[in-house]
Amino acid sequence: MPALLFKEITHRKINFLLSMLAVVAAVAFLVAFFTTSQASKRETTRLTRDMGFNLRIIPKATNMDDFWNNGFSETTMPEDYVLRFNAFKNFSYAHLTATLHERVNWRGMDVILTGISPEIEPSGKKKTPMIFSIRPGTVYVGYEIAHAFDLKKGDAVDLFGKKFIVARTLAENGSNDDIRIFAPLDEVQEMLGKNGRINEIKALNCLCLTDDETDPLEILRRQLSQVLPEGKVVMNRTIAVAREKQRRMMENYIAMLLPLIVIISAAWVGVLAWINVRERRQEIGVLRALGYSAGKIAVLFLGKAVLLGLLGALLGWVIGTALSLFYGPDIFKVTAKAIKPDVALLLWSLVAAPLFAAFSSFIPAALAVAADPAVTLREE
Amino acid sequence: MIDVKNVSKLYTARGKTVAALNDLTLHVDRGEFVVVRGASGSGKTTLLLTIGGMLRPDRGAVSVAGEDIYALNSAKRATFRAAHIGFVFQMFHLLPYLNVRENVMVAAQKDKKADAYAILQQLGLAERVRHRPAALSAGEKQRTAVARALINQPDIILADEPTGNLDPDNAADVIERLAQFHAAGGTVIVVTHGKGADKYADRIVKLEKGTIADL
Ligand SMILES: Nc1ncnc2c1ncn2[C@@H]1O[C@H](COP(=O)(O)OP(=O)(O)O)[C@@H](O)[C@H]1O
Ligand SMILES: [Mg+2]
Repeated sequence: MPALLFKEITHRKINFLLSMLAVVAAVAFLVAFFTTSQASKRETTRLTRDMGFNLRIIPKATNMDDFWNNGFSETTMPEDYVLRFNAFKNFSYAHLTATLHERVNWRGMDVILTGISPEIEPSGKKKTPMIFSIRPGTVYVGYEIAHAFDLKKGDAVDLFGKKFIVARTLAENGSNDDIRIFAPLDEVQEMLGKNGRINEIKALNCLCLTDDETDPLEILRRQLSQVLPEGKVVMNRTIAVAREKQRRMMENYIAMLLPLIVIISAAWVGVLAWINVRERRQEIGVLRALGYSAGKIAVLFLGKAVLLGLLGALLGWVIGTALSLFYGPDIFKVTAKAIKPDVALLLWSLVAAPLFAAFSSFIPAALAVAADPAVTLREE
Repeated sequence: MIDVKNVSKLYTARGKTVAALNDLTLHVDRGEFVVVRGASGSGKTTLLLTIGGMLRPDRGAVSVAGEDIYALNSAKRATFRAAHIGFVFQMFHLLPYLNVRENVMVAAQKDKKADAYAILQQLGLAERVRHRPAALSAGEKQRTAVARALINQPDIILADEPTGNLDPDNAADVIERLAQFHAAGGTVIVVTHGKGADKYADRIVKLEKGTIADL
């Protein structure tokens, strides 16, 4: 029986290949969609971070005129405020970093010196670090500074009598980050004589906005007032929200497209199966005369559909994954490495596609079984 | 061996009802060679399909080898057919994508020791086992079909105008093969217009409007 199946398939290749095309296309599309959607989510988060942390928690006493004029708060607060977040579970924001900013004059240039701590995750959350963590003894310099003093990676610089190695020169940002020197927090605190003090906690909204209605800032402010009544929160929301909305829209759009694609390829597979059944009417009659039961005929046709599904799933997964790997990095530049072949998707495809193909071929197969063999054998 | 009792098979086409078989009764003994004749449309094919368990009659009963075949369910009847009956058709009805040997083996029952090669050799097809039907002459195609009918060592061969598409030499050859099966104890019912089978026939039956006519 399997031999019968394979030989018939190779005999009527075109029909089988066309059917497979439909299954492959559907599976490839779904696989590509699911493979990249994870990357798309990360990408949004990463881009938000790259734009700057979108939440800034500053001391409550901060004068807001000064804050916006200077770009940071003049007032400081104890560094361990940031540790309070550790006790607080189910936070809607993450990736907390304690920072200390101070305007300083360096080599005759007005620059902002920023000390930045390693990340602190609210407890109960396990996440990969998203922010660069600056190694002791090294600094990152902003674009204008690097440009003005012709600094390159690996150069040695002197900061308030302490030697640092330039670990990175930053790309032009179009903000006051371009005149900023980033260094490890504890070293900056020491240089500025502000041990244990910070003036800002930066946080990245996790973008788990449950719906479009709830203002995330409301939730954040409520949470903050519980954890850190001495602080207040300022949020740069424009770009992040726009991007998140765009991602959602894209997802909704594709979610609408998915059933359409599935229906079209089901119809496609069904029509081709029907053509196949029509072509094989006499064959079915002969097989019945040779002692094949209706059940065996059904197995013959549904078996073909299952095989079609298995091959289509395998090929569709390979193609969908290949497309994601090939074009994904162009679309999601920052998180290209996050796009990986998803074996779970392959397993899902191997289960779903044969079911789908069998379902699509069900009516033609039923027709094949119901066909009166006497009628087809009489045809001459 | 075969007992067809008061069998009727009615067809309705364009409002007109035709009795393809009309209260037909026929008894065939084990080992008989029966030739069936009749004008086109007289019900010959319908009779063979009914005896072969392929076509349920509207009235009457058909028993083959002691089994009331239409009392069996469809799957059991299929198994019964495979075990007891071999079909040969005018149009050969070989599967185009299988070679000669595979076309024979596609009918082979697991429990019977089928030796396609031996049968094909007897039928002069030893050189053709790997060829597809498209590469065969009409005579070779029909001999392949005969081999397929023989593979399960059936009790009965039902042949519906098996020589209709063959030249006289090949026609005689195919009839000869049926005669050999008969000589070995098999029961044969063959529908044929030619006279070639007459010399082997134990009996010649003529159909007219769905019933047996007196000769
Ligand atoms: N499926 C069918 N629908 C309607 N009429 C049919 C059908 N099959 C056979 N008939 C009619 O039954 C009669 C007997 O047909 P058949 O057994 O094929 O005759 P024969 O084989 O002797 O030429 C014919 O009149 C034919 O038209
Ligand atoms: Mg006929």
